[in-house]
Amino acid sequence: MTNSSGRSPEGDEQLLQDISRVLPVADPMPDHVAAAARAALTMRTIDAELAELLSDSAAEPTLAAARSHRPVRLLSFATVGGEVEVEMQVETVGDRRNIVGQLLGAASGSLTLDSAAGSTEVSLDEAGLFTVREIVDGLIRLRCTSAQGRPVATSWVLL
Amino acid sequence: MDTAPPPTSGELLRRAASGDADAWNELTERYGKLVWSVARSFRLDSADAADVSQTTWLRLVENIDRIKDPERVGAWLATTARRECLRALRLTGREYVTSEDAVFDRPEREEPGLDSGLLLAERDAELWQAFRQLGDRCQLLLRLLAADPPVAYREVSELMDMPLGAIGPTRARCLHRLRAILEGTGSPAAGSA
Repeated sequence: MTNSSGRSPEGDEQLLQDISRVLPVADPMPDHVAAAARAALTMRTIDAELAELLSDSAAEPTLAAARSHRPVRLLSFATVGGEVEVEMQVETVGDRRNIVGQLLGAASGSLTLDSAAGSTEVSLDEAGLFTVREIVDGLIRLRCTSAQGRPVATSWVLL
Repeated sequence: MDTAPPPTSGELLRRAASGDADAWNELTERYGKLVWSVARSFRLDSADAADVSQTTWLRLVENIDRIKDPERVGAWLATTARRECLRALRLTGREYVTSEDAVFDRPEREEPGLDSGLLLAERDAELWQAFRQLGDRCQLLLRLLAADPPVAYREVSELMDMPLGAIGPTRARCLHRLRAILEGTGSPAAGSA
């Protein structure tokens, strides 16, 4: 019955139950996190086609040395059929982000940038190039209307 | 009617996909803590964990019509949260250490202790302090197994890239390590008690 190390299936079960009881008190999920989760549904763009995040240089393992020489993050998005493609470079300056990108397949000469600060219109030049300067770090996505007339929204990304 | 079983996660997801905010809220209620736990076990501070949580829920919204197995949306959320954690760690110039050395003991970065003003019974406070000294993999595994609702072994296996058969033994070793930290406070000879 007695176990000098206290190691037994019953003891393990009890310890896990203790963890289960202590964790929500010691490390509670903040209310604003729960609120943000609930609010996520309101960010849905029901009719919009998703331009999914295809690559993100921040998601690729790199050597620390290599990373320090790569302050620019590269992101690309595309719809399944490739009607809309977005590539962008994000430069970090403190808590601000500068974006230089190209959006191909838009019907008009502008896109909408959604961020914590709200929605802003960004103009596209004839080649689809766009620049956004000094946005605050946080979650962003781009929206546009495709040349086929469909609303398109990119995945959200944390900048 | 009042004895009807609670809706399955798949039902909640389908209702949320058709615009039912109540169903969505219930889903976030059911899995919010799981997502939070995954984020917190990856050495992310509270602000980064909050970002990961929000990103994870937005990913679900983006893909709400395309979840292959709606009943396993909890596993999908946990896996997505894990991926976003790794991204966040790399963004902040940190990598997730998966070497064996890091499994049982936290190798670096002493975590801040209890939030000030947080009142825990002394024994619980000790348990929490000891828990925070565990390695990331142990913390993640124990958080998943201690989650409410608990995460099934099959999902833990996927989430942690760990063979199904390794979960039980690793769980035992992590709990043993935790117990050694608890008992060995001030004594390096943990386990000799």
